[in-house]
Amino acid sequence: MSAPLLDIRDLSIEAHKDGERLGIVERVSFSVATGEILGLVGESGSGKTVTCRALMRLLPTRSLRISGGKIEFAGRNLVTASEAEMRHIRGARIGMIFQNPASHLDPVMRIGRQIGESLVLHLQMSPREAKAQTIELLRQVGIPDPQRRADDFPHQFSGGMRQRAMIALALACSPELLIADEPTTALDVTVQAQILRLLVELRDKRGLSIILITHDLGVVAQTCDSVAVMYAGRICEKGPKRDVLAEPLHPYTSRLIACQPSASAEAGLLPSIPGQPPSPSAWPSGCRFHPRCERAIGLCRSSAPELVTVRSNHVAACHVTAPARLADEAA
Amino acid sequence: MTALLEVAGLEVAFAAGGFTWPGQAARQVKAVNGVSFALNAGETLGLVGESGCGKTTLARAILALTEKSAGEVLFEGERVDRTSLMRLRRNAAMIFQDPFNALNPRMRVGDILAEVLRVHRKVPPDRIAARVEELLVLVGLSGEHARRKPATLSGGQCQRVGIARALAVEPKLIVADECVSALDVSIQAQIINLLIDIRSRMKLAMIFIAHDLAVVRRLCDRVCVMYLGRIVEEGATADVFSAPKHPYTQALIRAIPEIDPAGSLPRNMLPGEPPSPLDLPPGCAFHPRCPQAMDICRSGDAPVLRPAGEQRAACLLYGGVRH
Ligand SMILES: Nc1ncnc2c1ncn2[C@@H]1O[C@H](COP(=O)(O)OP(=O)(O)OP(=O)(O)O)[C@@H](O)[C@H]1O
Ligand SMILES: Nc1ncnc2c1ncn2[C@@H]1O[C@H](COP(=O)(O)OP(=O)(O)OP(=O)(O)O)[C@@H](O)[C@H]1O
Ligand SMILES: [Mg+2]
Ligand SMILES: [Mg+2]
Repeated sequence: MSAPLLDIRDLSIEAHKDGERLGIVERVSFSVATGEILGLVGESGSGKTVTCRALMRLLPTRSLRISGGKIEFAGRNLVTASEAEMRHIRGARIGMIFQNPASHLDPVMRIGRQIGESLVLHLQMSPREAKAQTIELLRQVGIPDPQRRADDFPHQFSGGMRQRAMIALALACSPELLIADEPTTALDVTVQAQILRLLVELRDKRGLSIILITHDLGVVAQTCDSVAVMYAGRICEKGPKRDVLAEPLHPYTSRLIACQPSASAEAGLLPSIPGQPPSPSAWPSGCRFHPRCERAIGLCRSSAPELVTVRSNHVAACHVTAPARLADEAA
Repeated sequence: MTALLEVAGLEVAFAAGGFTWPGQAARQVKAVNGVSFALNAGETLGLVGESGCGKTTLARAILALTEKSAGEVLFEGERVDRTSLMRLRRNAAMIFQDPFNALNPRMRVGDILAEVLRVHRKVPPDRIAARVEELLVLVGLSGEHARRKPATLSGGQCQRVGIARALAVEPKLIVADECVSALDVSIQAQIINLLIDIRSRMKLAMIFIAHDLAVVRRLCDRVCVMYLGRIVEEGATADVFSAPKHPYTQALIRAIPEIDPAGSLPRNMLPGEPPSPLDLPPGCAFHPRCPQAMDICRSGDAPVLRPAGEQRAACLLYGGVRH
């Protein structure tokens, strides 16, 4: 197999404030091949957004910094790349759909103009070409009447329309890698399916690689090739989509799948994982999931499990389930 | 018994962007078009529909955060106008769709919550700090987050601060606009369970706008389905989900993703371009995309809600006047 487009190795990120340092993300590794769609799922606050901002080198440097590891994109280590090089990469080679579209769209510039300017700047299009392309992009993300709506300001769009404008902006320069941070949270299921179809089509046609951050495991099932699961700043499980969803190994992954509400269930309370999510200032010792894990043993409290390969490409960090599965596979 | 909230014939129109020739009538987007419903104390109404169909605008108009162009809103039987607005504001809270922009970036989370408690005089001044921490824990955060500014929180953490702020008001009505969309399923479940608990203890009424239909199914007593500014189906949640009547609702329910490890994307349920609210088609606004459209659907006024099975649907396929 050829080298992956993106290869993140042992990436760690720290928050620093008043001389205090907190580990937010710890030794995260994953890679994305050309044309691969990787789902990044996990608990709210586990470090998904921060990891992706780090790889765009967009961390707020006053409070967060990369404290170790490397990020290799098409053979370049982005951790040490110059700011000028990063500007080029961000504009033309890696596109990002931000989780909060409203703060990444200019409130006083018409939507169409924002997309058009990026086309003129990065793809050297003529203003006329840029305008036609902008309208085509807005049409592709399902904005009705794109010709006229291109003249709207962001506040005249609905939440989901702003999100789709953000998607159009990220796709404008035909990036090789798209980082999509919860790109469909504001979209109803039919428009969501339309956007996901568009992304899959771009992958099929152009070999676009995608990191898709989402809370919806149904979306992962429908679109991703592989999945990485994060809990409390670490990756706890990673593998091909089918293996992870059908035979999850880490107890956190299993619980997450069990919590996914189904639309065919009746009214009433929803299952959740007991206990509170931990915070960076008080990470539990050993395996960070152990206080909430019903399968925890003494070892889980004292030592952090490493990621172990249980089957080709399927890895999990658990003292209990990983060895058990390995024994099963050997038998 | 009078309903807690009554909405009658509500309309909201916005001036549309783009160029207008001198003398040409200014174009309008009718974001909300003749919406009526009632909500009782302790009841939860789900509001679902296509992105851009007017859910946020409807919610804002109900709380008088956006000006309405027609219709009226009654809160506890009293018309909401300038003089009675304060009463509505004291008893209703909105959780905004965009969690990042809804919080003042210069204030610490603790101060954001403390301010609400002070303004609404919910607890004595010496109890404020303790109550702030209590609220944060309720939504799965901790006292540590009180010292943070919104920019240093994750998306889901911001969203939970928004929920804590609404709960701080101890309102009779919460209008929640996509309030769990940025949460992982476990925390989402904790929040939904919390809302179910508060609802039964305090007779809290809710308008719950969400695109996650599985959550709507669990939480809501009734649902309204909106399409291009109008309610096209309305009924008890179980009825609407198990036997959707309007062809738009049917497409929506069929598109719900399930976690099937071998899953693939559903084929396009709604072919054709979504129509523009600037240029509403005559007749039923859904007819250009409707697989069952008949000639009578393509002209005249938009169909009104009529009985269809256990619920009501604005669709000429059902009973009503023509059969
Ligand atoms: N600038 C910052 N300073 C300090 N801590 C931060 C900062 N930004 C984020 N954090 C913390 O880092 C952790 C990871 O945040 P991140 O935004 O990556 O979470 P996430 O996995 O994207 O969650 P969500 O699903 O809720 O969006 C959180 O605990 C958050 O509070
Ligand atoms: N301030 C405004 N000026 C002009 N048009 C507006 C304004 N606010 C909303 N609109 C338009 O009104 C329509 C309804 O918007 P609204 O935000 O209510 O939709 P929504 O149902 O909440 O959608 P979403 O699910 O995407 O959040 C959209 O066409 C939108 O562009
Ligand atoms: Mg995030
Ligand atoms: Mg909205």
